Amino acid sequence: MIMDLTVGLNHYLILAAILFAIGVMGVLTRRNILIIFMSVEMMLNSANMTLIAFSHYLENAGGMIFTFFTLTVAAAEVGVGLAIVVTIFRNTESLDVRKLNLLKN
Amino acid sequence: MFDVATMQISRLLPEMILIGVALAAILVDVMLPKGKSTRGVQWTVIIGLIVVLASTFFNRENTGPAFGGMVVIDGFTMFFRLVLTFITLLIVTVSETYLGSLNIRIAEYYLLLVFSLFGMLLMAMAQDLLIVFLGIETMSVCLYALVGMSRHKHASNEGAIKYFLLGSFTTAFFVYGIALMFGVVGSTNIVDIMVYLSGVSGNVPMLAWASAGLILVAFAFKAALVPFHWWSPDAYEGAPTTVTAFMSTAPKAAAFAAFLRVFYVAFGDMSETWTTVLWVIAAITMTFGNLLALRQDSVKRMLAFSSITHAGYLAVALLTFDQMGAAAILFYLMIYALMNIGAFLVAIAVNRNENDEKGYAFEDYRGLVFRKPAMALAMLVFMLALAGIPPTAGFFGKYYIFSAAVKSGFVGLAVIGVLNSAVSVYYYLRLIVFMFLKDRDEASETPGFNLSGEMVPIVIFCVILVLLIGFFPDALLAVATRSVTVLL
Amino acid sequence: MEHAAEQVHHAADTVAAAAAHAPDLHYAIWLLLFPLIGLVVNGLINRNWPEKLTGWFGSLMIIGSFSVAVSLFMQLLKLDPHHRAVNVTFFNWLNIGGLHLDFAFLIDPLSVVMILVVTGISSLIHIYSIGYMHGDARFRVFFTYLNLFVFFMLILVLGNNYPIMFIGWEGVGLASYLLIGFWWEDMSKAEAGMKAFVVNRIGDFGVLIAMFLMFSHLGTLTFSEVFPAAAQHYAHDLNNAVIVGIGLMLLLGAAGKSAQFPLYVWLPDAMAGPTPVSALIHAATMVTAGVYMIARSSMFYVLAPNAAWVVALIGGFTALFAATIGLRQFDIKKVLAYSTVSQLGYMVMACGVFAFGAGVFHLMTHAFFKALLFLGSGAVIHTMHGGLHHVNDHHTDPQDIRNMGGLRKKIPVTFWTFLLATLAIAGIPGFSGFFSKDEILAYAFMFFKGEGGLTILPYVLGLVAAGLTAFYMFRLVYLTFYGKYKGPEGSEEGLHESPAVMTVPLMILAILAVIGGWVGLPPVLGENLNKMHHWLEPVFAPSFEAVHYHPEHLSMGTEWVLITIAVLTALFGIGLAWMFYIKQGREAKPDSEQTGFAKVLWKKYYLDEIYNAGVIQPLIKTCKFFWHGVDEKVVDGGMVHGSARTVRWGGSVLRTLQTGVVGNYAVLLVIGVVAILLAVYVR
Repeated sequence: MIMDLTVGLNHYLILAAILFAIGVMGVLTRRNILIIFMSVEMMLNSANMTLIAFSHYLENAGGMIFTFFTLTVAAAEVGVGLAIVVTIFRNTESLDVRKLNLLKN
Repeated sequence: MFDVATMQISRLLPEMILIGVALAAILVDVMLPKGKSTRGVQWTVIIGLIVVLASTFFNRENTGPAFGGMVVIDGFTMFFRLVLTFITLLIVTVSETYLGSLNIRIAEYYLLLVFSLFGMLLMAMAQDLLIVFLGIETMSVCLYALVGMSRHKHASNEGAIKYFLLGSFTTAFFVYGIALMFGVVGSTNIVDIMVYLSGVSGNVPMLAWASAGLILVAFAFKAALVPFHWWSPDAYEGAPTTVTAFMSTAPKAAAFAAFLRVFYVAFGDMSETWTTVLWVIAAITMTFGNLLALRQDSVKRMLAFSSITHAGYLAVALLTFDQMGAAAILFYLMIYALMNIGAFLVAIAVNRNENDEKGYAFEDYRGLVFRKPAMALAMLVFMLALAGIPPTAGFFGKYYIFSAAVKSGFVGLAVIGVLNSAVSVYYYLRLIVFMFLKDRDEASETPGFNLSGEMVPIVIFCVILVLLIGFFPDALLAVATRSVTVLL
Repeated sequence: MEHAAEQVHHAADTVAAAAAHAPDLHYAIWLLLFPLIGLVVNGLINRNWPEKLTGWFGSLMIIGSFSVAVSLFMQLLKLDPHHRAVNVTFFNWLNIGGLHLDFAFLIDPLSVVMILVVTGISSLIHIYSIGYMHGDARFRVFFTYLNLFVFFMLILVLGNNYPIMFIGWEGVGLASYLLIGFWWEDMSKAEAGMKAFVVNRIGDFGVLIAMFLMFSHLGTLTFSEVFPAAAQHYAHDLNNAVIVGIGLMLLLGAAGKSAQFPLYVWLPDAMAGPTPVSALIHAATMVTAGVYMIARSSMFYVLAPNAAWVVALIGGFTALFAATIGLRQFDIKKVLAYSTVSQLGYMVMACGVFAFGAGVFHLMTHAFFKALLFLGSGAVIHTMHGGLHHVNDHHTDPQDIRNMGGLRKKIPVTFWTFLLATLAIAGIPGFSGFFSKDEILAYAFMFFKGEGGLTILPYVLGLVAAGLTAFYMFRLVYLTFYGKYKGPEGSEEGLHESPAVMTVPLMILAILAVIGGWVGLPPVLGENLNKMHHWLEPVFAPSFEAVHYHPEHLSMGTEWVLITIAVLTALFGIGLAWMFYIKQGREAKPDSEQTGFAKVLWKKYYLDEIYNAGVIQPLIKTCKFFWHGVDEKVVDGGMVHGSARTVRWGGSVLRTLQTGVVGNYAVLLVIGVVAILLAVYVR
């Protein structure tokens, strides 16, 4: 099925994969909570891009519909995530994940 | 095109009632005067959940797919509907006084529990990866907030942000995995995936393998299997203890429900490779959780690590890919919920001060049997059950899991599992030593928070069920066995 | 498998048909109900009853069980010897996935011997405890735990299938653990005592695996079905890996519970508990559970002679090994503890040479004389306490035989009963221990006669151990009761005989220790005098029939020679002890003067040290590695302490670790993801 896909699809997929990897590296290397958070969003959107690319080339709307749900869920996550970030900032006046080390063995 | 009849909406009656309950609870919260509203919300939710249980029961014949095959209501769904709703009901019932002691008596707590329950129900009934995704997210978003419920406590904030960041990180892997599967199969429906994979038997494209691997990661994360468990000890410790009790049981059950449905139905043809991967995961999960639980001085954190170990036992049954293993998982999830919730409730009662960093210490249990004999006896039952010592339900749970493994030829893994459960006795027993063999130290004793009135019946209920299932396990196992027939 | 199941059902039907004529034994449940009532009443209802009432109530419940046991024995006597196996089903317990289990008792000659011993000895020890525990702040709790123990012990020996037996198995472990820890006050001792439970769990693991193997290969776990099924499948396939596996795994379980090498380490430590507990649990009853289980599973061992050979070697070696340690102990209870390990080795060895009946016979006589020895030692300690208390001495160890001597005159009842038990364990003709030990040695010799070659080992090990036992037991008697009193000045005035609640049980046990062996007289004294053998025969007959095993016959002459050798060995041991400790008046040296091999023995072959260095320390190190190393250093420490250091290192991989807690978690998570993707790639 994939064999007879045109080159165009592969471009999209590779771009999405690169974006995904950049997002992963962002999560791994950054210490500011908000930036980590944005990296996660980038990963999600690269997954969306993959979905849409497949959807277009398979001529199957399922992938695009899925993307709507992903976007909505991401928005909900942002809502809760920012709320947690705000409470943390109020308590510690910092957004550095390095300073969150109360819980450990 | 749009036909209400084919949606078979009546099959989702319990879920609709659940949403109705949530809406009613919001109204109750608004209408009642401040300070009294949480009690009202709690009662609304309790009654609502009982109605949900009843409607599940009376609607039990109404099975089949709904929403054009996006979800399916079958015996498996029914089992998890009952178990998950039941766990939520227990937690809702015992929360009010405890929340009062934390000064977080807010109605949203109950609403979040109800909405996360809704997400978990979606996970159990999902027959499409889209619904699995929506279920996981609905559940998780609520849980992030629940963990951070004690807004003024650093530990609570910290547990929440760790859980949140790692959770959304894993979600991204999950969505990416689904996207790849969509590209290969052209659909996210579990049945379509199964048909496709069995069609290309033995020649599964690499992308599908990668996709299944990423989906496995997401489930392993929610089920807290090593090495995807990192969030769980911290989130469990930071969260208010009722939330910990909830998180260590219900979401774990929901994760295994989705795990079973997706891996047994959709990826059943790839089972050989997943067996190998899960073998390793199960072995290190059991061992890792145990070795760390050994070193804890806090009962709450000990239970958090022990919860990882128990997830490892469940993974042992998971990798058998047969009916006996699947039934053992369902059985174990139910009894694990009872014994773990019971243990956490006693821990809440014994803990002297929520705001004390040294809370939940083993030392607090010194000579408990002389102070509160009933509570010590209840804890004894829960610890023996968690350690898997007969005649408690915990023994049969482990017995079924390991005999399923042996029956499928995984003798080595069963040996690792049984050895691990032998090691785990050490830390459960340590608590028993403190309770029964140590003299009380009157000087450092403080009255403790005590079992509030609403907790007493729940603890007694858990004790009775743990013993009853220990003596008569076959009724529950028969139900579990019947529930998993749809998977195989 | 289908066919086999049918046959098994057929066999079960025959059993059921036989049972139709069997008397209704459902009242056997009272065996369990009595101790249950005792434990509920004393544990929950009894608040401030006087000591006497609490103690007698607990004791009466056990006496109630004993009378039920006697009545069951009478009922079985009335039956034809080949129908003396009655399944008493109470309800259907489990019925799932091909596994059908009833909650049922198996009342047969073997279980009746066990319940008689358990309830009989327990009754006496309960009564003794009323005196011994007098004045203890937790008197009530003690009796609750004792009743709990009897309850589970009876479940263990009565169950008609392995899971029920296992419930009792775990239950007695828990009760024993609670009772060992009864007097522990400080943390270190409590934690050290976990050895008992943890070592036992290693054994339990063996039992579990054996059950899994039985279920997956034979499809059932009920005694009356699993043995015929095993015989049918494997009678023509001896030493099949499955059966050998089951046999060895059961041996592992038995080694844990019955303190066989190398899992015996917990038993000497268990002596920290009150003496009645040592007598009941760690000598007479619980520790024999492993022997019971091996005897019960005789079918597996006749089908797997290789496994049985391992059983014989482990048992024989344990018998000898523990006896050598016993030579040089100074704590009166430690001597008895090692002697128990050694005698248990005897019983296990008997099972290994297919002398299951003889093993159970020795189990019974040992229960009499060893319970008596422990209770006697308790009375001695009680007396010494009195003496030391008299002069307000709290430093001298009341259990060290180097502080005793000459007690014969002070406590005559204790002395005479103790002496009778010692004669019994030493194997002096006429006393109970002689008959059972002789039977085991005779069977071991028969086994050699049949197999030849190295199979002489069990006999030799047993014989040497018997000589050593005679020596160290008489050493104990001479040092304790003869010679001059070596306790602190003035304490002699405070030595008094124990009260009647303690001495009467001693006397009853003394009678049993003497005559208890007369139910199993050897063939040289006449045909059919070995009642014990005939009583147990129907239990083991099916196993022997399955493989057509017939033990070699011994001529009268050989029998007489064997008996003479055994008696001479015992007398030699006693004579040596007499020469050392009476004629030459040797005295045991204080700790600092121990040298050479004697020191090695006194230090128990340094095994505790080796265990500590070889097993326990590495375990702790592994834990520390995971705790400090992986979780603290890599995960959290990577950020806190590690950040400054790792910056200096500047490694690109480590950079990712230093970013923060969540960052490190994420790194490890991604490593997991990559590992899984690699796994599916190389698949």
